[in-house]
Amino acid sequence: MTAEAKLRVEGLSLDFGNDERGLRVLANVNLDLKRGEFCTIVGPSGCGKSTLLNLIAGLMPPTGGQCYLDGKPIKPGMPSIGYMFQSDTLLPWNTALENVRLPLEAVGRKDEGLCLDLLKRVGVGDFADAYPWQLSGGMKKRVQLARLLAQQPEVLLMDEPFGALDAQTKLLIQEELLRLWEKSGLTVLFVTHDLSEAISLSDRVLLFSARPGHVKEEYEVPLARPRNIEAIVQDPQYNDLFVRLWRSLKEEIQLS
Amino acid sequence: MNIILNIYRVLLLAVLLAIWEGAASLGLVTEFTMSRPSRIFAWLGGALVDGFFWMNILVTVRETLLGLLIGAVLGILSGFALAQWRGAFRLLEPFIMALYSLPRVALAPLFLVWFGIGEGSKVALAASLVYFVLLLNTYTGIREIDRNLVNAVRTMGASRGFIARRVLLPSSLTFIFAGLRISIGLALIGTIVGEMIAGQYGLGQMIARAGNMFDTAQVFGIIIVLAILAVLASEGMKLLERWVMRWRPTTETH
Ligand SMILES: Nc1ncnc2c1ncn2[C@@H]1O[C@H](COP(=O)(O)OP(=O)(O)OP(=O)(O)O)[C@@H](O)[C@H]1O
Ligand SMILES: [Mg+2]
Repeated sequence: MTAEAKLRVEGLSLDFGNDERGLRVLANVNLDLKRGEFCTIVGPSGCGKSTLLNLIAGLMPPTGGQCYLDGKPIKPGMPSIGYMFQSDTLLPWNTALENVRLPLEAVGRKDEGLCLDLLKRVGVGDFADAYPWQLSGGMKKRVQLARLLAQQPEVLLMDEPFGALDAQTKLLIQEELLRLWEKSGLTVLFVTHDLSEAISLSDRVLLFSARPGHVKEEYEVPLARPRNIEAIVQDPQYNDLFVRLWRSLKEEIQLS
Repeated sequence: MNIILNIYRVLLLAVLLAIWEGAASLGLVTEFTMSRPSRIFAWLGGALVDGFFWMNILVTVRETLLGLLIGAVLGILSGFALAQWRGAFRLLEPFIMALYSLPRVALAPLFLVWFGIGEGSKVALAASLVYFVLLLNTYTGIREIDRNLVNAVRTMGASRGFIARRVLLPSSLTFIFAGLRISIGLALIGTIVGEMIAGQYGLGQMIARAGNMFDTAQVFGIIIVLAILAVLASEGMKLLERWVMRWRPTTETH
């Protein structure tokens, strides 16, 4: 049933440069995300994952195809789609709190209580008045997470949000993301290079081919919710899925 | 502020002045062309209790600050506008570069005709020197912006005006202040040259008159005042920059 898709990507393709030397980055990408689904994309570096998220966020027009939110074509700058970029996008001249306020102010709203509460919930309540350079990498990610939630989106696009973090911080922040998401009903499209992150967080893992990128395979994650990361890594189903994903991904990486 | 460093600076200055004074008394330099510190300070001492001198200082300061302000505001606005409409910049680039590279003090006679012999022509000359520096610096500052900062705020549903205020402007401030620091000197050049060419008041006009009378002590005295004004202005600019960009890491002191 296509009608129940929260986020729908239909026949999406993208070329950079339009002459014959142009680079085909995405070729006929199709995906459907159900409301409240946590879906992860893994794929070789440079296969067009960030480009796909940019297209879904409406930051540039596709060469072909269309994206839909609740069945309606996506327009640029829709606050109901929240996007956490691969790079750090906190404004360096604003404090943590001012950064979290930003998505509200951008649409002429104000909710100081919500912003402070979000900072507390992601564990950086004491750093509301700190500037980004005064925060560690993990704290910056937490502030970005708070900012993303302050926007009150329905769909989250997250591009390798925890890629640059150390292993322990990453595990902690993954657990916190799971707790926040479980209560929220948010639809998440998450990109990562970390297969164990992909499995432990998501309902479904999409494996992208080498460039031009498209969905090569799809894996349902057969693990029950609510999840506990410590328990998951001991689950034989986790190991089995990890090995299948890695074998398939390795082929694509060797192609690219 | 490093006190020891400042003591050394004062000492160095005292030594240089002593050598100058000594050379003049021994007749190694002709006092007529080089003057000597004691005479310069004697002239300054007299001038500083004289309302006429202060009035001229005031005129020059007013023209310089007004030229700086007008040139900077127009330059920043133009830089912003051209960064938004890249096509316009590509069209205008050769003209902008031609005007930028032109020695604009050559425009002084025209400005006298257009803006009159009073303060207007001096302000215009100072502003014309400042304008292009700030235009190009602001334009470059906006071009160098991390596109993803802009994109992140765009995905929040922000308007262009909001993005300009909250992202483009703060992000280009480093370039804008670099331009402003150079502009203090440029604005002073514009004002002083304008005053020297024609007019009634201002330190440039005083220098021109003293020069015609071969009063070198007075010329040196006014130059010292100009140097002090320039240092005060750039210290003021530093304070302004530090206050406006107080979000920056504190280790990054200049
Ligand atoms: N603005 C652009 N102009 C031209 N080519 C681009 C542009 N942006 C990206 N590309 C190219 O498109 C391809 C896909 O880039 P993209 O950033 O989407 O990859 P990715 O899958 O996110 O990679 P990674 O996992 O390393 O982040 C790359 O080959 C890249 O060089
Ligand atoms: Mg990427």
